[in-house]
Amino acid sequence: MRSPLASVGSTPVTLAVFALLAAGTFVTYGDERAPTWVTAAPLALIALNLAAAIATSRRLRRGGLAVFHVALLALIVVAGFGRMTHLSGRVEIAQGQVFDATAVDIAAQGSWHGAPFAGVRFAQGPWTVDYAPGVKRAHTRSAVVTVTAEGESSKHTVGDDTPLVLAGYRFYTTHNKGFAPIVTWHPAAGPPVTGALNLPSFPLFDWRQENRFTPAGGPEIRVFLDIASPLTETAAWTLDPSAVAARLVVHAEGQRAELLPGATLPVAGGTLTYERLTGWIGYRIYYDPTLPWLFALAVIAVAGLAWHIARSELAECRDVIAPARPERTCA
Amino acid sequence: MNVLPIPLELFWIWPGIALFTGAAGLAIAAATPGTAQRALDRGVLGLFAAALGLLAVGIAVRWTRLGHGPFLSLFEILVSSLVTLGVGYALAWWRLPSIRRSAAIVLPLLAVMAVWLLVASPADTHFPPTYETSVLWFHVLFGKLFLACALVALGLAGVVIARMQPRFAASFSRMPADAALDRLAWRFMRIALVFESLMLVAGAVWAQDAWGRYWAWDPLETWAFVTWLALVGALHARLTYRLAPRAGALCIVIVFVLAFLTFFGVPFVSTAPHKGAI
Repeated sequence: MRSPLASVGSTPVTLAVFALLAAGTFVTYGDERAPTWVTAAPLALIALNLAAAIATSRRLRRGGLAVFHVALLALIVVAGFGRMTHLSGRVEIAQGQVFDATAVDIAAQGSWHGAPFAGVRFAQGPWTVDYAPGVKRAHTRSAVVTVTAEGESSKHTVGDDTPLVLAGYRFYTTHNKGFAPIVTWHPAAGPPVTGALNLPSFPLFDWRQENRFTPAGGPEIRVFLDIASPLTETAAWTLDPSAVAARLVVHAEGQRAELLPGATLPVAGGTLTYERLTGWIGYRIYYDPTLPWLFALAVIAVAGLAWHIARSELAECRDVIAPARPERTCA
Repeated sequence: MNVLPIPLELFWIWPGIALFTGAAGLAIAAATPGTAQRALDRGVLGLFAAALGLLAVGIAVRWTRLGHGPFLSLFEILVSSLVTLGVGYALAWWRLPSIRRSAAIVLPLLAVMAVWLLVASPADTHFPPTYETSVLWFHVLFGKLFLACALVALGLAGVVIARMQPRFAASFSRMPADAALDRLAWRFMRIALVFESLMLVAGAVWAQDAWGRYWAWDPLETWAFVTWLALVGALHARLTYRLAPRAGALCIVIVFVLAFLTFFGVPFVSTAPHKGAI
């Protein structure tokens, strides 16, 4: 009689959990908000099935089959650990600003992830994005300066498929970026405050380059960026915010003013100075300490499978394929 | 009236399509009992080789003109797959003479893909910076090898299924018995599994670098993974239940259909192979 462990590791159970996983896969595919357990539960069942099969089947403990199945089991376990410790999120950072962990919009975080962004310190430098004709995004180059805990700084250029990697966190540039006018608010009383006004993503929202804010002790101020040159659609060009000629159109208390860099506008409660035009850039953040392990295990699993199949092929070469026209299949 | 210029590569690809359909017609004729099969076989080989050559030149012309490989639109994926699948099947055809009659199954399928090219837009494509990585080459190469192995297996499975009909039995009577074809087809499917696994691994490495995640259930990832599950499931089922050749052949057809949907169905319904990920 088959033992309970052998039953758990049997092929019918394998096929059943495969079907469950395929169903879970399609549910996740059809609805991005589907709960994680839809795929996690079948994967856990596959891990159980695999472990039981390895424990009870002598065939799965020999040669390439053993390597494949054990590596596959380890892959599922490590991937599960990765999900528990991972973090994904987004952040926008303007040129000249220092990375601020509180500004990160965390999309997902494993419950075993500790205090996020410990040891992540960098300042955003200038960036450029190339465009091919038809406003098709090409290369992104983003300059950043990282600072170690000892205070040593170093410059990096990241973009496209080269992320900034700090303390295990991987920062990828995205299509999301735009202009960030730097303004200083001089209140009637108190020290001046300088900050960046991130305008909507450019050129995605080139027709809506506006923002509004209310400085301390001042009225609500609406700003609009009036770019001198229209968007080029027929030729290649490079987006470099600091090289773009533009005027900052300011609306406050019913009055309208057009400011060039360095210009000042007095309003109730203080004075607004348009310092210069820079850009902000959006990063996608990903943290998963298991990435190298996942890769290694996947390669080992495939190597085990290839080893098993190669051995089987050598055995098959002794067979004869065609009774009508005998010939060897592995010449 | 403005008339758009015809891309240069089409002057090579269109004749290639014609020759592909001609080769498929001859392959079907060669499988008909009583015909001059040896002469027809030579004709199939000649047309098939010429079609592959023309399509390869067409790809080279387009590559030179655009400055990037055929990785993006359905048109590019179809034409590059026709060449790689064709070369893969031709190699099997050359090394395993006893399976040559399966050309009557395989070449019509390739001919359908070739005719499909006529309605796929040959518009110029933009090569995203995230595609400028050597990992892409491995990902695509493994994918093509996977599908080529599955195609050879499909041809053998098709013969097993066709022989269920008495009127087709005579056409494939000189081929090995069902059991031998079944064994050979599954050998190709096992090799296909290795290449599909490698394709998924390389794809995950690329996705991590390009889009900051190694897996996100995008349409291609989902369909490729379901194909992998189906293939592994079919291999387990065959070993455990000792499936008869006809049942095994049906399994191969199902796996190939899933793979075909992955490779050509997803690019057909989306703007890029990895929709929204560029």
